[in-house]
Amino acid sequence: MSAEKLLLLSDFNIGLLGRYAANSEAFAAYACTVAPYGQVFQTLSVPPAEGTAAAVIWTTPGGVISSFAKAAEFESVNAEDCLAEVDHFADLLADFTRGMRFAFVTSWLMPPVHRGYGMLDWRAGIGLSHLLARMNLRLAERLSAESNVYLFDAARWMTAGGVHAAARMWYAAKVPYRNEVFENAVRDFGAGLRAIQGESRKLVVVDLDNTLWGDIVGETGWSGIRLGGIDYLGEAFRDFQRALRSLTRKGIQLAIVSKNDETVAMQAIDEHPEMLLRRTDFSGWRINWNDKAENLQSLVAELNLGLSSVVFIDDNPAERDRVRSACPDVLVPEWPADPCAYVSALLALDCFESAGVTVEDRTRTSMYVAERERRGARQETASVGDWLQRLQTRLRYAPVTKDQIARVAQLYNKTNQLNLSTRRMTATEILNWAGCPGRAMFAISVEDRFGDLGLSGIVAVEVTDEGGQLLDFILSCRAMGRKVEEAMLHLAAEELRRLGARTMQVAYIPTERNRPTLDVLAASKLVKCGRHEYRFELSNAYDAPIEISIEPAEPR
Amino acid sequence: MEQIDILTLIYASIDETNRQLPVDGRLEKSPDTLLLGDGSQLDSLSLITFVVAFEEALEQTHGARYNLLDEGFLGNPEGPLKSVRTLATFVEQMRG
Repeated sequence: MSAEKLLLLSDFNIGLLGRYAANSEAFAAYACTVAPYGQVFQTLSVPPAEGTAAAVIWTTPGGVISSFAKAAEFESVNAEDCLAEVDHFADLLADFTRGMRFAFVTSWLMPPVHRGYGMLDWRAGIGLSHLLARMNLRLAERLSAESNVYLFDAARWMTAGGVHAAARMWYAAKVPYRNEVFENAVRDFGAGLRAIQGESRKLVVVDLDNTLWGDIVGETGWSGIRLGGIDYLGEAFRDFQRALRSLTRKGIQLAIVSKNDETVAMQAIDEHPEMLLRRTDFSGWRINWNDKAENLQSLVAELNLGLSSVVFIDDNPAERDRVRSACPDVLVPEWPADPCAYVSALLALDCFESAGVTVEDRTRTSMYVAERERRGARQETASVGDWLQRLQTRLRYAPVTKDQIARVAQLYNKTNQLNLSTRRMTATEILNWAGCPGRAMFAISVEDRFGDLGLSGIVAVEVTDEGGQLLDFILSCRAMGRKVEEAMLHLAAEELRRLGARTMQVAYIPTERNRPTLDVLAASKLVKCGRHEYRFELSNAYDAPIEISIEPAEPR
Repeated sequence: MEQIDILTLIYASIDETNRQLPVDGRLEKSPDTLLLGDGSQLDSLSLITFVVAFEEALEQTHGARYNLLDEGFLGNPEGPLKSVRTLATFVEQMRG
């Protein structure tokens, strides 16, 4: 596969960034090209060269905003003039990058080692820091409408201690920053790229003793563990729990794998007054004396996730080593021996980036808790049919619009198991595709008596000279196995019939992880007509499953 | 300062430079490695990166600064920047 072109554009020599990117696994699919040095506006004023799939645009404020360059030399400038220049620059960026898979733009920093106006530097109407903050905010606001443009905080890349300037490199090669700054930037961009490609981690699995709390609960009992209270280590563990809980609001799930007696451990979770994480914060757990790697594998399978979605945190180096060797796809970070460093170790992980935050993300844990209850209800119900009836599943569908595009793009790029073609597309590409005649794309939302599963699936169909095609058939794992798949096939058939097609053709494109899709197709009413091809004659009705109610979503 | 100390600093600078070079274009940590002129694997940006890294390391550890970025050095393929060995020898001589 030939590499896609990634353009690097800057008002300084950005060649080093390209070199570090070329050595980064995250950028393996991209070949960097560097725009002519110092020609930012000339480059932005014409369309990008053909085949440019993405861009990194890293500028200095004085290099692209002339009013700021004057301000940095202590000339008096009108802030509104400065902001008008920012607007112009942002508009150029938006036009230039429209249609790209993504564009990474960096925030502006004060020139290295510039003290500005000292203690007046944050005073409105005077200070450079104040002016620059307004410029960055304006740039962020102008670009926030562009779903494929991401603004990165360049301040994070500056090395600790503030010595990030590279004066000799600047005068010798027009490189303003030290090497570490570029290495940090590539790491940050790589994390962003993984998020866009749906490769971020979705589940944090934690140990209990000396990870979630101090001491061994099996020996001390729940009242004896170190957690919160007037105890510096107890406070550290409680803050670690707080940091973990924060992750759940970004859509990251939590689970437990611990060698413990489940009754004793759960008593601590349920009853210790300082516990911030309770039973309902965990999507699942394995608390027993079995091998942790095996426990982890079965838990992840139960949650319908892949091991490459998982981060495993354990204070015990031997357990970390065991999981690392048995489950190489699991990210097992080295973990500090000092509990006071747990929070910073967690916050430093760059594997939880997201290309967007949706309502579904913020409520994912509660959805999985509801799923656990559903499984419980299933165990209490004699037949699968009865269980499905009792679930009272309701499917709502609506054409994909800009309103739900963040979640739709997430499903396109993160769903692996039930995904017919695994087409990866950005939000812009999805909207462009769906907007063409002869095509329809539906967002599928699912709810049942236990709760709302949110926007969980996508059906995309197209009618061409060759007939009707089901192109995208995507369903989040949380809605799998309850006949929603059949309801979606019904929906696709009905829509294709409405578009004038006489057949529905379905081509399954195998990946390492979408085997469940093939099982769904094989069990459906579709007729197999090739190794991975299926079809359905639309002269027949594709009946909807009786256990599910299907209705169009109310317009928002 | 003995040559072995200087070589340690040069090799650390090679490590830093190698992080920006493709795997098949990385410098070997050997006195015979060519840095400048025919046979060198470094382009101008990589050479400057290497020189700046070495100058900083030298200054931090020994308080010595030589302006190796001067054209007299960078533009002279037979000068001190020719190879790891010539660079180490040059610094050793300068240190007396």
